[in-house]
Amino acid sequence: MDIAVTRRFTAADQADFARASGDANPLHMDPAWAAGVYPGEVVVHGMHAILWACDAYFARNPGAGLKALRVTFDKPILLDEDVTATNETTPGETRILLAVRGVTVMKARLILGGEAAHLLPTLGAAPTPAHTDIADLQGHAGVVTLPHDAAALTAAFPALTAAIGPAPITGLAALSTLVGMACPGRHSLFGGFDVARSETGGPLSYAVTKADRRFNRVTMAVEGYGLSGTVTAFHTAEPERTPLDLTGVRQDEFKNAHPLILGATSGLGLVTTALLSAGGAAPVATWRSSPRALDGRTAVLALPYDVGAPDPLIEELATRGWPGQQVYYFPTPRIFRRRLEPYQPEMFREFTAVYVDGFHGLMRALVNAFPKRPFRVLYPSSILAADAGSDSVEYGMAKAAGERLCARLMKAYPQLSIIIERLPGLATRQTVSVVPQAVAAADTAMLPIIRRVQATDEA
Amino acid sequence: MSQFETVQRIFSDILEIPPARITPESTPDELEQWDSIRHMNILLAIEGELGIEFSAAEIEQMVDMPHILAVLATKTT
Repeated sequence: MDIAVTRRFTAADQADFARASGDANPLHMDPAWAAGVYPGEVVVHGMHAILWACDAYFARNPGAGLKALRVTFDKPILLDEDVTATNETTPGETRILLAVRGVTVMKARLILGGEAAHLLPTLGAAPTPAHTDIADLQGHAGVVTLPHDAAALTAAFPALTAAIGPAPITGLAALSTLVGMACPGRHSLFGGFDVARSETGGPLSYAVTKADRRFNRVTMAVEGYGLSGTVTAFHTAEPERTPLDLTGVRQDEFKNAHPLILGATSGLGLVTTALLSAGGAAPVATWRSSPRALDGRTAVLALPYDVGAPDPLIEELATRGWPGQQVYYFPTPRIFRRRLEPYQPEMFREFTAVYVDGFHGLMRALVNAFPKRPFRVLYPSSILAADAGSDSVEYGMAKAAGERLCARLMKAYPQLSIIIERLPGLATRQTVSVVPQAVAAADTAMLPIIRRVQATDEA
Repeated sequence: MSQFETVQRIFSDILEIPPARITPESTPDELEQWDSIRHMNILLAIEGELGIEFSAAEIEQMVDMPHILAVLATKTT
C-alpha cells in the first residue's frame, strides 16, 4: 500500500471546487434543496474526492504517469465526515478505494504510465444547471466548457497535474460539471466514468449513447480536454408533476369540516389538503420552513409548526376558536438515505423523534387544550412497519413503534380515535431515489382514507 | 463456468465479499452489502456480461438470487 490518507470535506471545500469546476449543482451547495432529494444531505463532489485521492497517490509516486482512469461512485460522501483513501498496486495499475466508516464508497482503477500532456485547457463562462427529462436525452449532445477559475485546479492538485498535465485535470473536473450542470443536470447523481488520455484538446464534447429508463441511467461518450471515454449518471427527477386528480371528490362532501393537517406543504400532506379543500373543507395546514406551497389556497389557514414544540400551534388554534375534530399527521424526515451499516441508530432516532415523540407531543397538547372534544386522527403508517426491507429497517421500526404508541394513546385518552393506515409507497418526493420505485398515485390512494377519517364514507 | 458461478462472481465483485458467501438461495436480508443501488449495479453487470437485456417486469421479479436465476434460466435457454 502506498497511501492511507484521511480527510474531511467541508462546505468551504465544496465552494472552492464548485467555483473551479463550475459544478454548482444544488445537491453540493444548498442544504435546503439537498434535504428534499436522495440522500437528504449535501453531497461532496465525487470527482473532488477522486482528484484528492489520485493527487495523494502521485505525490508518493511522482513518476508513475496515468494513461487511463476508471471510477465507480457507489455511495455518496457527506460533508464533515472522515474519508480514507487506500490503494493496492499491481504491475501497470493501482486500485484506490475511498471508504467512510470502513465501507467502500468509491473505487478507482488507474492504468499507470505515459507522460504529462502539454495541452492547455480552453476555458469560458460558468455554466448554469440544466433541467432535463430522461425521455428527451437519447441522442442528446453538447459541449461543456469549464470557467476561468478552473486554472485553480492545477494548484489544488499539483502532483496529479504533474502526472497528466493541465488539460486532462480540467477534463476530469469537467466530467463532474457535465453530470451536475448539463446532462442529466440539476436532478442527477454521478455513477462513474472510464476515460483514457487522448490528443483531443478543446472543451469537453458529450453525446448520450443510451438513456435507460428502466434504471433512469444515462450513458455518454465524452471527448475533449485531453481525455476520451464514457460517463454514466443517474437522472433523479421528481415524480411527474401532473395536476392532482380531484374529480373523485364529491361536491361539498367535506363542507363545514376544519381538519388540522400537520406537514401540509409537501407530499401526502399537500395532497390531503388539496382533496379536503376540493370537498369544501376549510383546513388548517401547517408548515415548517415556508408556507409557499400553500399559496393560492384561500380556504386554507396556514400556520407554522415545529414537531418538537407543538404548544404554540395548539395555543394559536385555541385562541382562534378552532372548531376542528379531525387531525392528519404527515411530518417526516427524509426516508431513503445513504446506508453504510445494517442498522444506523442516528436514523432511527431521527424517525422516532417525528413518528413517536412528535406525534405524542401533539396529541398531548391537543387533549390538554381541548379536553372534551372528540378527535379522529390519521396516523399514516407504512407497509414497512410489518416487513421492512434492508434499505428501510429504521423507518419500519419507527413506524411500528408509532403504531404501538397510537394504541396506548387511545387507552389513555378515550377522546382520541386514531386511524392507522399502513400505506404503500406513493408518488412523492420521498420515494424518489436512485433506484426507481414502484409507487401508486397519492391522490387516488388518499381519498378513501380521508373519507374514513372525516366519517363521510357512509354518505 | 456455470451461470450461477458467473452471477456469483459479479455479486462478489460488486458487494466486495467472498464468493463462498453467495449461494443460489441468497437474499438481500442475509447480505448486508446488498442494498438497492448495488442491486441495480448487479443487474446491469449481468446484462453486460451475458449480453442480454431485462424487461421492466423481469427486473421487478428479480428481488433475490432464486428469482434472478429463474429469470436468467428463461433468458438463456
